[in-house]
Amino acid sequence: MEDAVDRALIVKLQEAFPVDSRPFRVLGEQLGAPEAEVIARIAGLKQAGQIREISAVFEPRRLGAVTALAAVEVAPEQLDAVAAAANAFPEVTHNYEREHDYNLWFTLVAADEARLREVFTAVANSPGVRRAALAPAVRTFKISVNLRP
Amino acid sequence: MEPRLLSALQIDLPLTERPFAALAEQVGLTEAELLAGLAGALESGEVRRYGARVQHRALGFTANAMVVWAAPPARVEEAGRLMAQHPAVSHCYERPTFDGFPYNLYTMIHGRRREECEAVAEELARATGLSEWRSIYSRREFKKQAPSFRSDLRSQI
Repeated sequence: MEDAVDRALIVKLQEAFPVDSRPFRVLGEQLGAPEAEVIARIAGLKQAGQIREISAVFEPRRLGAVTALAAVEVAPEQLDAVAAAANAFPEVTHNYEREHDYNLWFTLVAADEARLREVFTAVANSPGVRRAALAPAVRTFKISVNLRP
Repeated sequence: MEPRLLSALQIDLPLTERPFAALAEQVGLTEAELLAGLAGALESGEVRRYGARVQHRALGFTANAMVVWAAPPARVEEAGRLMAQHPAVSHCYERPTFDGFPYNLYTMIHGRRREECEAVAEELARATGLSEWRSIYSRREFKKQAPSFRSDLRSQI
């Protein structure tokens, strides 16, 4: 079970990862723990599945990519198959069953508009799909997924 | 973005004393080049943030509500800005409405229990004066992964 140091570490790892040659030593100085302990704690948090990985979160549009949210209404008995069809595309990054007539919602990040439509259309044409819509963001007011344990 | 930098920044950081040196070596950069490149990409906004990607459910955030709002066009801007200020709102977007879905403002709310998410939605409704909204909870997570960017085909996915 995580303790106070783990909780502080999870926040720092998300919000203020040191861009430094010895980032774990810097984190240790901030948290009052030796570098080796910080490394061991992060390994433990990864083992427990609380941290997936440490990497960059890009701004897709700045890299020339296009993004959208897709909403799909699928016959319940076909839902798993349509979800799997969507998952097969690397452009599909998040995919959830939700409690609504539109019961499958996934996000797309694609190299360009044509590819985005191609992936969406392939999923929308799957057996069992009743209707589907593409809802790209018109305006972004907030993106921040830092969770405080 | 420089292709080697783009590759390195997508690799899970090794848990060693000099992890950026290890990453840099994998792609053929020096540690100093990688650190300067990362700092520059954060500064320019190409990288939104660098750090841990967490597993919401393992951290106890088992309730995940997409709360959607029907905001009159003239009020979207003000409502979106207000909602974005709430710490429990992780994402807030304006999106077009579509068949059978009259909602144009989306807020993602993470909570330990549904009641927490509902309380946040009620707060947002009071703060913005918007009365037409719905909480749509996730039932199953089929996929959650970082997009992968390749630079050899100009940001080809």
